Amino acid sequence: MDNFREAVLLGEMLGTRCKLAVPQTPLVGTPGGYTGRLAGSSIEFKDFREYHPGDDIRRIDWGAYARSDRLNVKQFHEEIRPRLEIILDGSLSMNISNKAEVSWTLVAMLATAASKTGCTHDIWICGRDFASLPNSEEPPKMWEIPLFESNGGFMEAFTVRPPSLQDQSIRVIIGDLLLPDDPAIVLQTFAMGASALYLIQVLSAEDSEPLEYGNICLSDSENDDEMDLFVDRSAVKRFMETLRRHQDIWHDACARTGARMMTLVSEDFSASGDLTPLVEGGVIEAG
Amino acid sequence: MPTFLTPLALIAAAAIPALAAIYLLRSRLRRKTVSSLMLWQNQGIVKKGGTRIKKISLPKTFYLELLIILLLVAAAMGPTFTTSKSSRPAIIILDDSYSMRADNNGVSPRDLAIEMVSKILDDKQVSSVRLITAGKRPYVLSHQVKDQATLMDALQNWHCKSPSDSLDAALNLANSIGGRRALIQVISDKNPDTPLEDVHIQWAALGVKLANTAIINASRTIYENNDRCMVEIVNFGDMTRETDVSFLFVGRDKPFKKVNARLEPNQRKQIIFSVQDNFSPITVQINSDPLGIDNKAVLLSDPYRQLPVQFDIRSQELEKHVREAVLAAEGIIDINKQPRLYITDKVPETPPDADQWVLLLVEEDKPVSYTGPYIVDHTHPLTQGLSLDGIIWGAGTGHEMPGDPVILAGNIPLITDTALLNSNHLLRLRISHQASNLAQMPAWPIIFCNLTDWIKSLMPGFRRTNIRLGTDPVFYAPSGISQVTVVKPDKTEKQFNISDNQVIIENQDPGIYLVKTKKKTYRFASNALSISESDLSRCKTGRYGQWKEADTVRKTYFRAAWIFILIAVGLLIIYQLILSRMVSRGMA
Repeated sequence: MDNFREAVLLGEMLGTRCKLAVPQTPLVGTPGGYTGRLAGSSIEFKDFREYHPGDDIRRIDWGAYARSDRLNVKQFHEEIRPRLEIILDGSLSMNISNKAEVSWTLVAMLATAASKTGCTHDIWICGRDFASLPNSEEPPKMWEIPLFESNGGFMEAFTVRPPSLQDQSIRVIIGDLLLPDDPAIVLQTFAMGASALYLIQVLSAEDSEPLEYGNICLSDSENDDEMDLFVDRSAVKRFMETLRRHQDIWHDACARTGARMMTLVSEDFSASGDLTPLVEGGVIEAG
Repeated sequence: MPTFLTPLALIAAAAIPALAAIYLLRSRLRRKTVSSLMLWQNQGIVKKGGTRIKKISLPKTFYLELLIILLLVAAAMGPTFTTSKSSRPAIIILDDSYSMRADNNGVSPRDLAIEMVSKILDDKQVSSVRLITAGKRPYVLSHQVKDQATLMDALQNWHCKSPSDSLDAALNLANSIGGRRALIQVISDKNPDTPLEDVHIQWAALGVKLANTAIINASRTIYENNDRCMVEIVNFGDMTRETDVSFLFVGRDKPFKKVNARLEPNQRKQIIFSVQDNFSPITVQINSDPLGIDNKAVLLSDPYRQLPVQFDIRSQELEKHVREAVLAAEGIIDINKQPRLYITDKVPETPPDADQWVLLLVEEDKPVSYTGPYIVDHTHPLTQGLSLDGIIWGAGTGHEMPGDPVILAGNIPLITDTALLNSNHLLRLRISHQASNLAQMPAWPIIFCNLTDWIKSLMPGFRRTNIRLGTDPVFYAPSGISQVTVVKPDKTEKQFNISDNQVIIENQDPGIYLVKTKKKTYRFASNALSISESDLSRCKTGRYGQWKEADTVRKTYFRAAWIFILIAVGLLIIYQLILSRMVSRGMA
């Protein structure tokens, strides 16, 4: 837990150096500093429409009524505060190496950057179901960080209890994406109603290229499955080819849903703190 | 199989289980938790969990290390290979006596011996064999023989026709040739006389006790005007046996005399008869039995030797005594010219003829009678059977007596001998018959008889014409002959050079030998007449003595540790290469 705490503090620190990159497409959010896609209460005129009972009579265009004897109300772009929703993979596989620490760093960094940008944020932990992180509206150091104990995928958790995702929110999924779920379904699910969807794949160095050779009993971190394998150069080569194909599937799914995906190696990130991949991926902006 | 000089080094082999343990532990499945197995599912050599007991996948380096350790342990143990290739040579002594020819149901000891020698060489008991035949004299039959073909060639010259064996002499010769540690194999048909104490000697007796009847004596002498023959046969068997003794002239099929002899065990029987034909060779033959060589004898007539003597003595009384004594000997011819023996009391003015002996009678003017003691050279032919007891020898010192003294009275030579050319001699006899009683004593004719026998024995030809096998007769050549041709019984001819007017003829085969000169042919008959060889009842079968194995095999030790180390170093280099490749590939 101390590691997670340190990771969160590191993320908070990193988040102060950047801003959340708000997409240029109209957004939906709580009233705030950004023009929303919907009609709202901002001063920026959007359109006219017929008056319906219940409309604010202050918005009736009395001049038009005089000219046409029809009650029309002026519609203005609503002023919203964009919302960032971070979906964190809470499965046991995230405990491998320092993936969990790096993930919490990223979460804290994004939450801080969102706050700095004027966005609200919410954090969903994907365990057996989707649970909101307690005190997630508070600064990261106030968070109550849970352990990663789940052994299921996103869709399984969805069926138990889906997250209450706000429409038009910016959604960032953080996890190793080593899931049995169909990437296309996962992304379609999360992309629905989102203004933007980002996938940050956090892999350990061993996930990206196994370094250990010899006779190894491979044990799945999320279930009791085991595999005895003589790992040699060719086995590693086959592993990496499989990983590349797996990532390609996710990239294809991203391309179809408009999501963007980036991959971090946890050990490299923790060593360098380099946010360039996230900046290039359009999740954050420097500043 | 190698032997190890330091077997305790085997303790180092404990490194092998240690290495195996290391590899087994290394090869045990290390448990590793991964994020997901989904990326590993397409591995071709997947082994499902739960099957822990399975073939261990060991890397090549394990086998290399194992091999290197094994080689080093083996090298530390000092492997030594023993090669018996260079086993020691042996000397094989072959009994060459004719009892080895005894036929026992078609197999003779000689046949068995050939088989045995061949087997010794075949079995690699020895690296090579050297053959010595032990006949009358030991004879080196072959130098070191290593192959069967050469061995068989050498054994072709082993005839077994000697009338005696010389096994003791052959053993001495073998020891001389081979040294003290020489391996010696004696092959005979008799057992050793004394127990063998030398561990380097093996004795194989291959003989079989057989009943044999043999001719053990055969002679032909001049008796009055005819020849008289004597043949003696013996039955060496344990049972009474009858045999026909046939006498026939050589070249004729029908015997002129046949005698049936019934012989009790070990009984001898002599058959004596006269032959009117004094020249034809006679063959004596008995019935066939296991040993054929002693069933036949050939008898030649003894050539009648005549000695021409000329007397030229001034003293009539002395001449009378001398003439009576000389003519008392057999075969003396009194002639007046070209005598073989010239007896005179005159000092010859010219040297004697080439074929002439001279007896010079030296008569003193002032004789002195000597009664002894006499000093007699008993090795001289003149003194054979001579006794001078009671002799008053009338002599003196008035004349010189050159030559080797034969008889002396004190320091006064009475008879001297001077050798001339062609084995002739000039003998000086100092005598004064008025002052001596020598002419009336038996010694007087003995001296002249010895003289004439001596001269006749040196006349051309053989002294005896019927001799036993193995006895090498001396051929006295006529003067002026430098070479003779000898025709053996098997009709082979051989040239011999004459040395000192004589030559010794080697007598190895029974039968008639011819010695040809330009003018005349001489001959003698050789007969196998040896009791010891014909008596097959003494033959034995058995093995005596045994070579020590340590002596038969001269072991050569070859230390092979360096080979093991060399291979280990080679493997170590290969190991390093493999290891470096693995490191470069990140597999180590």
